[in-house]
Parts: sequence; structure tokens; C-alpha cells
Amino acid sequence: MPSDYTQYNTNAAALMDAHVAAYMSWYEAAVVLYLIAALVFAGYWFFRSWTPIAAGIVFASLGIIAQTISLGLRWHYSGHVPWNDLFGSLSVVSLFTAVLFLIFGARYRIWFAAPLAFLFSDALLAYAKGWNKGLEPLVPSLQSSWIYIHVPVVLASYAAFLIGCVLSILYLFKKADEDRIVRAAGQSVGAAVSTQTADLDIARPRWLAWLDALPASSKLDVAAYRVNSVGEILLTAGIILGALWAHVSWGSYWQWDPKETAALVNWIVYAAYVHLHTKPSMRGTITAWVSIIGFATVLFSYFAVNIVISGLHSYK
Amino acid sequence: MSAGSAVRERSLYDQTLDVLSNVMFPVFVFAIWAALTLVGTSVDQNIPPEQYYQEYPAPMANAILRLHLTNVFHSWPYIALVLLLLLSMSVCTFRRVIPKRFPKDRALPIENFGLHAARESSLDFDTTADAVEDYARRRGFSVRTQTIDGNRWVFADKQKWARYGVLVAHVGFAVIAVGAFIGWLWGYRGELQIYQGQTVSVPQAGLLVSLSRFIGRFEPVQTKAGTVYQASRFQSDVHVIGPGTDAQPSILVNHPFITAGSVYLYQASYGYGGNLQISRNGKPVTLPDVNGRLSPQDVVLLPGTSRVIEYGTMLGPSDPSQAPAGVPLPKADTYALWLFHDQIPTTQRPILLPVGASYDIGDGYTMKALPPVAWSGLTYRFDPGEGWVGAGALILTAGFVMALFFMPIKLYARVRRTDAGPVVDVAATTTKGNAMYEDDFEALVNGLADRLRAPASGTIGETVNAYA
Repeated sequence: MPSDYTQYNTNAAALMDAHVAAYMSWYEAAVVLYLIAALVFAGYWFFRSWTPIAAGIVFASLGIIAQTISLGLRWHYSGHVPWNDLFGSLSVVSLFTAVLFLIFGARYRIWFAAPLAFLFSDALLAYAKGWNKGLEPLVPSLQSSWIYIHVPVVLASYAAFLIGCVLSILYLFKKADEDRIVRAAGQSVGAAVSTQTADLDIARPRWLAWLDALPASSKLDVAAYRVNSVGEILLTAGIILGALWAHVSWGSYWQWDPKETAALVNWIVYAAYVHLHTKPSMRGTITAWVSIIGFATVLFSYFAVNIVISGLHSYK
Repeated sequence: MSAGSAVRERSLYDQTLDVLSNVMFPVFVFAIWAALTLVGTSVDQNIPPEQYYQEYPAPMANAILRLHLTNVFHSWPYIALVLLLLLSMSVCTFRRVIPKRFPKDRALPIENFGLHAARESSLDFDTTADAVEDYARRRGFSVRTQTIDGNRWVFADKQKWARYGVLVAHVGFAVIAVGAFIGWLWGYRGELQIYQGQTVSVPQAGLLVSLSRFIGRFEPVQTKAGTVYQASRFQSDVHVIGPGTDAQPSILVNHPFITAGSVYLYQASYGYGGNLQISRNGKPVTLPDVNGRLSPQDVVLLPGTSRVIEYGTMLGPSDPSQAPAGVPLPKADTYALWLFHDQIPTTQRPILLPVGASYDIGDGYTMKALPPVAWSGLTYRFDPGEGWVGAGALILTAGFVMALFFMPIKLYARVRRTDAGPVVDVAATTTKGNAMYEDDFEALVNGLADRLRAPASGTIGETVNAYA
């Protein structure tokens, strides 16, 4: 940690402000770029061509670069990892969401989910700005190699769950639309969709026309399962890594600290999700709601526990 | 009961096992477990009852105390839930997971599979069968063939080992549970507070621990209110003597010392004991704890008087983290003290006494501030189950990766003769449902169709983007 910020340096405040301004300028650029990416990706919902997807990928990539520079500058000026506080960790979640989405998008072809995913991610990034407290030294309990592994793995799991939640939300919209088609046409979804009669659109509000850009609900369920599975694997590894770190740092694998127990809640909900998904009758609407509830518990463990409830992980 | 009908009644034991091994049972237990854990996370645990009335509205505090929500995680219902889950997991493993891992190679009605297709071949029968076999092998399947009722059957598996994933994950849990139980049964832990120059013992381990020196390093942090100081390093230089151990390590946060007997010593906390020299009429007076052992709110009664010293805190370079934001840090360590005479403070503000300075208390008493004495808080711990827990964690993670990330696929391909030539019927099954493999199955079938049109010696360099 540089010694330039001491009280004996009359220039300390100005120097701190200059360093903070440097990484925040790239940070704000990322906020704007992710928002543009979300809006551009939304073009696919209405125009169904690859052009908005390609353009969205470009803007998302630029946002990733800007955010990486911001985190890198913060790392350089502080002398330690930038995810030591709520501001830094929220920023990393947003970055991981963008990166993971580009990977999942290419692997599982889920570009249709990009507008929502980037919108959520950008909202997190914009909210995190209020938690920027400048540059602080790393407290002794965080001075460990484990911070390079445990924290990013857990944050990556949160990012995966965010994408899984988006897919589950889209599933519910699509399923409701498919059920509406079945009721309107009195036939199977496949037959009703293939006829593409204009009458079927009468009952659908115009603002839901973008639902045609989504694949069948069964495909959305598959995509959500794949993404949530990655998240559950990462969360399991993250909790185990955290336990190993706690063993080294505090002398106990598990101290029933609120952050630990909140992460356990997250893990339990997604364990229920993967178990439910083994039963065909439970796949679909039920697992979609469990996925959404799971992400709600992730938000609880991130915000309520870190901000409101005191504990070893508290930022209070 | 009518003749010819056989109604088999299941025993209570079998019915119980049916319930425990039904996947909905652990899901139900998960839901309750999550809810209880959420309650324990949200409600402060293990604090004095009266403190609940300070932190929560009275009706909520009443409810918390009456429902015994003050110690959720160590309550019998909570432990019972975890044990129930372990029991269900064990029953499910032996009743469902192990027996049903590998579908047998059998001639099955292909049309009954959710994922099935048929493609005609322009090749002769034997070449078609060889092409199907070769095609599956090139796509990473392990292949076996049989001739059944004149048809050539090709049975192919991919990532068959992933079917062990659930079993491996469940075993991992069991190993963790064993390790946690061993640790609970035979392990121990405790706290030590050692002043610089002091020696304390760890009776369970037969250890003696002496603190030679404690170092605390602090870094300045700029805030809107001014500069504050944040701890950046705590280090205890100790001498540890015990069975098989005679060492002088430096213990830091995240860098515990491990004795020969696998007892861990962790850096947990620190402090500085106030150090005063009390004299009366020029002669030193011996009083308990004043020599480097004073803690905040400690009270020292001066004999023969109604005067009392109340120790507040120490501000200064030794522990700048105690200085409020915006308050200039004293250049020398300074004690903040209150003096009471007949229970009335003698000053309106605390007395700030720098190290080296003296203060006339009254009734012949004077006090002189001496340098504070650092103390280090160490936690010691012995856990014989940690190896089991570590191994279980690795096994669990491996099981999760196998079960959740990879998808085992079994292919059934039947080559049969028709008047129009050989026809290949293909079906696929996975452990994750048909929808998961739908797109890849379509690509596989299309690739096979191309293969059955092409010359047998040619290869089609199609890469299938199978699930994993």
C-alpha cells in the first residue's frame, strides 16, 4: 500500500482523488457500454438477424475491456486485489456475468437472453458505484492467497445464477405464451406454431411480440439447467475453498457466520433445483420458479448479509 | 382376494425405504432446511436474551425467544434434518443410484424412445453396419455390436463414467460427515491471551507458549472525515514447547503454526494493556493489573481513599486504529483515563496522559504512564477429522462435476433389412432427459445419414458439438 496517503502528506487527499478518478472513468465507461450492449442485443428480439447479436458482442466486449482496465487500475493503486470490498466484488460479479454470458451464448446459443442479462448486470454495476470508498489497505484476514481463488469462484457462481435466473424468467414468459397458443388454437403447441395463423396473435399483447424470438420453452429449461449447474458446481467449490481458508485464518472450517449460512441457503436451493430436474414432471415451471427463488437468495446473501447483518464477512 | 390375482403388500420397512429414496423427499427436507437456515442467518444467534429486546421490536423478540430461534444451528430439529438428509441420501444411493447406473445392451423397441429416428442406407447391409459402428466410434462412443434376430445391433456409450457422478457426490457427503463427527468427538479448541513476556499453557496438548514480541502494523486510509488507520499486519513471535515441538515461529493471520501433534495456533486478536506506575508519597504502590494489564473500563481502587482510576483506552502510534477519524494521532502513546473521587469525576473530559508523563491524583497518590504492553490473542485447535473433511470435499466436488456438467449418453442403433435396402433405426437416452440431448441427437442423426450416403472408405470430418 503506498505511503502517500498518510496524514503527514498534505497532498494525500488530492492524490487519492486522482487515483480514484482514474479507475472510475473506465468504470463509468463500462456502465455505458453494457447498457448499449443490452439495447443492441434487444434488436434481435425485433429484427431476428445476426447483426444486432454481432454488434452487441462488440459492445459487450468493449465493456469487458473497460471494466478490466478499471479493476486493473484499482489493483495497481491499492497494491492488492480489487475485490476486497462490496464495490469491488459487485464490479467483479458484473464482469463475470458479461464474460460468462459470452461463453454461454456461444456454447448454448442463448443470445436471446442477452438484453436481460446485460441489463441486470449493468444495474449491479451502477448500484455498486455508491459503495466506492476509495482505496484502502487489505485487512490482515484478507491477506492470503485464498483471496485469489475463493472470492472469484463464488462471484463466478453468482454470475452464472444471474444468467440462469434470466433464462428462467424468459421460460415463464414463453411457457405462458405457448399455453395461450394452445388454448387459443385448441391444438398442440407445435401444430399451433407451425400454422402461424394471424388469429393466434390477437390474444397476445403487442409488447410481447418479441417472445417469438425465443426458442421453445423446453429449450429454455435445458439452457437454464445447464447454466445453473455450472453455478452450483462453482458455488460448491467456492464454499469448500472458503471453508479451507477459514480453517487457515480463523481456526475453523465453519463458524455459522451469517455469510456462510446464507451461502448454505443458496447451495440448498440449487441442490433442490438439480434434484427436482431429475423428475420430468417437475421440469419446467416448477424448476424455473426454484431457479428464480434461488437467485433471490443469492441477492439476500450478497446484500442483506454484507450490508445489514454483522458478521465476519460484513462490510458494515 | 380373487383367484389368480396376487396382491403383494409392501411391508412398513419397504414403504419407509420407498419414501426415503423418493427424490421428492430430500427436496422437501431441503426446503425446510433452507427455511431454518435462513431464519438462523437473519436472527442474531447466541446473544443474551435481553439483547433481543434491544435489537428487535418487543413482539418479535418475544417470538424469537419463545420459539427458541436463538440457537437454530445447534438445535435438535436442525441436526435431525441434516441426519434425515444423510439417511435419505444413503438409502437413495443403495436403492436407486447404484443399481440403475448402466442400462444393459438389449434389443429394445426403438420407437418407444423419446429420441429416435430412422434413416435409409444406400450401402449394403454389412457395410451399413460397419459404417454405423465406425461413425459412433469416431464421435467418441465406445461401441459393442450384437446380431439379434437377424438384425445388427450397435450399442454405444459416451461418458459412461459420468453415471457415477451422483454416487461419487453422495460418497463425498458421507466422508465429510464422518470427518465432522470425528472432529466433534475427539477434537478441541480454545483461546489464549498472552502478554508480551508471558508464558501460558495449552493443557490438552501439553504445550507452553511464550510471547516474545507482538507487532501490529497499520496503514493510513483517507476518508471524508479525515485519516484513519487500518490494521495491515499482526504478527506474534512466540516460543512453543511441547511433545515433539520446540520452535520459535512467527504466527500471522492466515499463517498459523502447526505443532508436531497437529495442534494449530492461529493469530486471532490483539491489544495493548495500559501500564501505570502508582506511587504514594514518593513510594511505589503495588496494585493488581496496573502494570501492563489494564483493559478498557478496568477500574483501579486506590487504597485508603475514595479515589478510583478508570482506564479508558490507549491512543498513539502503537495502535493508531483506536484514533477516531479526523483526530490527529498523538506523537506518543497516550492513555485516556477518568479519575473519580467519591464517585464523581474530577474532570469534565478524560485525562490524556502521554507515556512518560506523571499526574497528581490527590491524597499523596501520583500515577506515571509507562509504555503499554502488547498482548496477542491466539486460538488453538486440534481436529483429527480434517483429513476426512478435506478428502470428502474433493470427492464431493468431483461428483458434482461428473453429475452436473457431463452427460452420459447411450445409443441404440439397429440395422435391419428391408425391401428398399438397409435401414438404420437410432435411439438415444441420457440421464438428464431428452430435451437436453435433442439438438445433438439431430446433428448425430444427420451426420449418420450423410455417412450412409457416402462411400464406406470416406470420412466425414463433422465435429459434433455434443453436450460435453
